[in-house]
Amino acid sequence: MKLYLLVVYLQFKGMVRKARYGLQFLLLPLMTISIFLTAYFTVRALGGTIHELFFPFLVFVLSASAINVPMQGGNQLFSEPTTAHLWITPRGIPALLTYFFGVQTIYFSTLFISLIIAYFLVHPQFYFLNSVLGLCLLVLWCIGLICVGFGFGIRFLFAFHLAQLIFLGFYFFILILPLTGKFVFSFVIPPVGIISVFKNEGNVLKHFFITLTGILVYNFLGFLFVKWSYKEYRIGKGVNRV
Amino acid sequence: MIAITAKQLRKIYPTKPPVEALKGVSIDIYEGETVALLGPNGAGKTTFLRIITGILLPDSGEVTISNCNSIKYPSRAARFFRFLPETPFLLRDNSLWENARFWFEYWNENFPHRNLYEIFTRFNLINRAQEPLSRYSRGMLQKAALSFMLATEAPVIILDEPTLGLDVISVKEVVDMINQLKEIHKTLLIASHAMTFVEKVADRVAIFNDGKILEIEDINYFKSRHSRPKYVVSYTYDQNGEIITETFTDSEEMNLRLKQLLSNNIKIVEATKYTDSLEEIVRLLLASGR
Repeated sequence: MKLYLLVVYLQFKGMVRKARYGLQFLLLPLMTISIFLTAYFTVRALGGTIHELFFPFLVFVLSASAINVPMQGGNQLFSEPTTAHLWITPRGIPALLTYFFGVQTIYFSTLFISLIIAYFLVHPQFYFLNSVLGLCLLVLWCIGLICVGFGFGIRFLFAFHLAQLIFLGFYFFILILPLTGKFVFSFVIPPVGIISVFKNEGNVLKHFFITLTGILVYNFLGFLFVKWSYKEYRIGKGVNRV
Repeated sequence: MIAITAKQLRKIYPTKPPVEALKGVSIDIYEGETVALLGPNGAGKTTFLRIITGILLPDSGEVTISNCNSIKYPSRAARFFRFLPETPFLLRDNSLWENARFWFEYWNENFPHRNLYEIFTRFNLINRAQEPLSRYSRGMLQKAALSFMLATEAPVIILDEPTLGLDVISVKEVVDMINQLKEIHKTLLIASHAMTFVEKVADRVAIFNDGKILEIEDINYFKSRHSRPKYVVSYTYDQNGEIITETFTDSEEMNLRLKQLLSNNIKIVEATKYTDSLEEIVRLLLASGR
């Protein structure tokens, strides 16, 4: 926990320090708000509502970033084998994942706050309990995605390009998901459950627990995937070079 | 006591075509000694270091660091050593002190503030220790990463090209600090192409070539065994005249020549024995294809 808080603090300080020299600090939130508002007015022009747009957008932005950024980060870190000593720590793999999660925290927080600002700019309905439950699920889901993204980044040479493809494709994937109340989808495709919880659809608690179970299974698989990727990397099959 | 043991390490990279990087390397490194790995590019030094540190798995062989198997239990073994690779990972948007905080927390070590302060001062980094590392030069980044290695509590320190990009003053500081670490019985394993640096710090040298260790020996014994002495005599016929230099490979030849010169009242300017430098010895050894 201390390592996680330290990484969050150092990342934040690094970002603030960068912001002194330019507008980089504001670019991410401005970009998120502008994308959201563009999408919102497009949906409205087609006769849709904020509820149909916001939660899939929220899940998309955070999920795509959670898988995308570690994939690119892992790929960069491990394609240059000399920097891969970050693995070599008495704390093992969890320390590296803690580091990456710490790095992502500031990034996610910025995205999340930007979206909330955008959300309130267009006056939506707000369910407090659902938002808290939905957010818990989303954070847990992102941990699993970070593992999967990182595993891909370590193991596959093409991960850098795959990351860009995922970022482009994820939103469409989420928009075409079957969003109406079949609980099996909540288990197999956690974003379905997360969106349902956020939108207060059907039996919220049932959605919550089924989705949570699905997420925990995915997170366990994600952690195994990182371990497998690292083992493959150690054999010399990953992005590692002589 | 043995600090690091490697037995019959073999490694073939599963590339197309496969590359045999190590062909049965064995070595014992004792506590408190400094061993330098020398050899040409692609000889297997870095692969060897990566296997020792647990970053890579060998196809066969065993490695223990402080009696802990670093292949099976890399995290457990990582308590006993720190590794400085060629391109160390540093947080570029954070300051030197912040990087130090990160690494010592990452290694689960107490923060050695006083020790670091002294090292930063000696490396001439202290005045810029609050600046983000993005403003540092290549050499300064190397010194930053090296500082953490020199301040760590771990008994074994493994360095890959530690003097890369350093100026001569900093290299001198590194030599002094490594010698201080030797005094407190730290074990050092260093891969380097900087022979002058190696001559000043190493107790033993291991010569790598083509995935094998050609020789591993005490550095002084190694030099004396392989060195071809040269005897140089300089003399002049006239106080302000030209200095003539003659070189001999045999001391008796030189003595004979000296007697001749003295009997003719010729002024001897210098009569010195030279030995090959470590660089020359390693170059000749590798060229001989052994």
